Amino acid sequence: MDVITITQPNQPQAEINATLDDGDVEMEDEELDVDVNGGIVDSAKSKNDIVVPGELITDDPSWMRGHGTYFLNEKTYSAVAGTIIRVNKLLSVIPFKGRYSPETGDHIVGRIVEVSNKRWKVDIGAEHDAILMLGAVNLPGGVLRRKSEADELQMRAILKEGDLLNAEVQSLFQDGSASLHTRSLKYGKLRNGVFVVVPSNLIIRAKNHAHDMPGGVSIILGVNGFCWIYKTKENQVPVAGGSSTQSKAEAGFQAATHNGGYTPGMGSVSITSLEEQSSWDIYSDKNDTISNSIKETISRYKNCLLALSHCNIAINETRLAKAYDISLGYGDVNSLVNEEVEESIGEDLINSGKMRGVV
Amino acid sequence: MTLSPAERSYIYDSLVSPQVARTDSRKPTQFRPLKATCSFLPNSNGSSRIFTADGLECITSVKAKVLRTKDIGELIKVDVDIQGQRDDSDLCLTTSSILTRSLVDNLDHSTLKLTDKYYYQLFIDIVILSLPTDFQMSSYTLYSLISLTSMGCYLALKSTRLPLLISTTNDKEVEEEPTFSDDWESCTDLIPKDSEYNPTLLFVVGIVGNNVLVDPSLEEQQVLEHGICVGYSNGKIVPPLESITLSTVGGGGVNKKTIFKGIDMVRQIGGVVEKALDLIAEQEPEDFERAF
Repeated sequence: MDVITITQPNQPQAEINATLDDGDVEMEDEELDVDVNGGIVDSAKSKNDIVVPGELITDDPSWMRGHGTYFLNEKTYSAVAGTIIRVNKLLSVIPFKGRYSPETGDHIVGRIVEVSNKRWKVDIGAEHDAILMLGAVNLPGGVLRRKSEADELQMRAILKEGDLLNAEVQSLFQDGSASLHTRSLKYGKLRNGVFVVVPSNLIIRAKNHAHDMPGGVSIILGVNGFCWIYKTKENQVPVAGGSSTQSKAEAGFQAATHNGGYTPGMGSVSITSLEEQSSWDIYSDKNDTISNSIKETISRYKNCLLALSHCNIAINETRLAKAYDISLGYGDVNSLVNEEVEESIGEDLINSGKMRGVV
Repeated sequence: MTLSPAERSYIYDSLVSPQVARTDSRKPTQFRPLKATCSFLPNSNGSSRIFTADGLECITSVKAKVLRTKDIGELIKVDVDIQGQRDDSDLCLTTSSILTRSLVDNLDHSTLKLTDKYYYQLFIDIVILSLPTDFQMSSYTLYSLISLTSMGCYLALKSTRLPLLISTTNDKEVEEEPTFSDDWESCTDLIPKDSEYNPTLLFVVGIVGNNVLVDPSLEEQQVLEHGICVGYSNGKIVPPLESITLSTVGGGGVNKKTIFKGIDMVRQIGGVVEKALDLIAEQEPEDFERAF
């Protein structure tokens, strides 16, 4: 067993010089091409339109300048490192890396950073914190109801600083910050698992971002790169139904007492009190009992995610499942911490993809 | 960084159970992978660069000066500079004083002795580049830095080369200033390969329940009940040996047995860490640029 692995950083200088030289040569070529093209300098580069900050994109003022560009002395330069995208006459540069920029409909994972007037501020890894309005969450009480003043006073009983939740981007404000909602049973507070962050540009946008994976583990791949790996819910029974409501109510009650605080509806004598209590368990902080084997699977998935991110491989659930499969071949889960193992998982994944003709 | 109660209890339950399951699936005695390289600063006697995967990076340089003194307490000067922190900030001062003490207390003075009157004085300068924002508001910073910087010092001292002394080592009768060979090819190691002496390494051990964990990560330290900082040198536990608080929540008592368990663990893994560091110190980069 390795107690410690210390390696030398290996970046053969010679190779770096070589690539730099190539770059210089190409740039000279481009300058020669400018007049021939009379338009976008990089159009000469048929492979990919990659630019670095400060690089001249075009000196033709007829192009419209979009995101990631700036205009100086009638010339358009790139403001970021990325690829050029042209839509008709609009020219923009999509950065390789950067903060997540929310879009309406994105399924994201976030962490509450602040509770303020009728809203929560949520860290979603974007430039601005997102906003979750009190009216945009499922309020405890069993049925969909309007928010009341009592709810405003006890917002921390629902979500407090540090809590993780998954939500959907409902709309965007002028400054690009997002407004979230959790008005669906698939959204809400996260429990029974671990939190992993990968770069948001690696997450492939899909119809569905919550998946049940092999091994009794589910995962939410937030579009913002925040992921949540958790134990799959055992019995997803409908909320209505005699005995299950009873047990849910008990769970809710226990969770509430564990929380050590006052729970609205706890002492009330209303007919719907059972139902009220039951709905509090969606905001419970108590984990279910999780077996060691599930925990090991969760940490294996976590390491697989990190391995994919280390190798800069875009992530979706099929690739993750494949990476998990491959990682099983490396034996003990703690060997996955090793960088070399991470890299070879990435290589194996790419090779297997090539064999099937995907990637 | 604040964890949600559910995350916290998940991590706590995993760490406290008899089969310790750490968040990154390491074993209790396993370190996070490190990268390191040595002797890359051309104008210092010894240097090292060591960094972790989560972005902490530490560059250490050792410079030697000839000093006429009897006071062996002032032979090693450690200066820590942390990016984004003032020179006189608590973090810088505490780190440098702990490192100075740990090195001076366990120093083999014969390595620095030139003659009866003259000694080498070592200036160890440490720069911490890029402190991740998550770390800045955490007590964890100090203890993760201490472990890393002590490894940096170890590597730098191990790779320190000094010019060959050509004057006599006996100056009891004649007052003689030491003179050195001009030829850098014939330099000597500060710590000879066959020497028994190794600089002190500092280990941070987290305590949770009856379990002990080496090198706790930022997530783990949030739920740890207690911690100890242990010095290790030449197969022995050496000072400093102090109790530290890693997290601001929870806390609670700690069992005497658990502390001994932690110390035993350091005794076991200390040698392995020394060996791993020695391997790096022996490899010489082919040219200075390779280090980056």
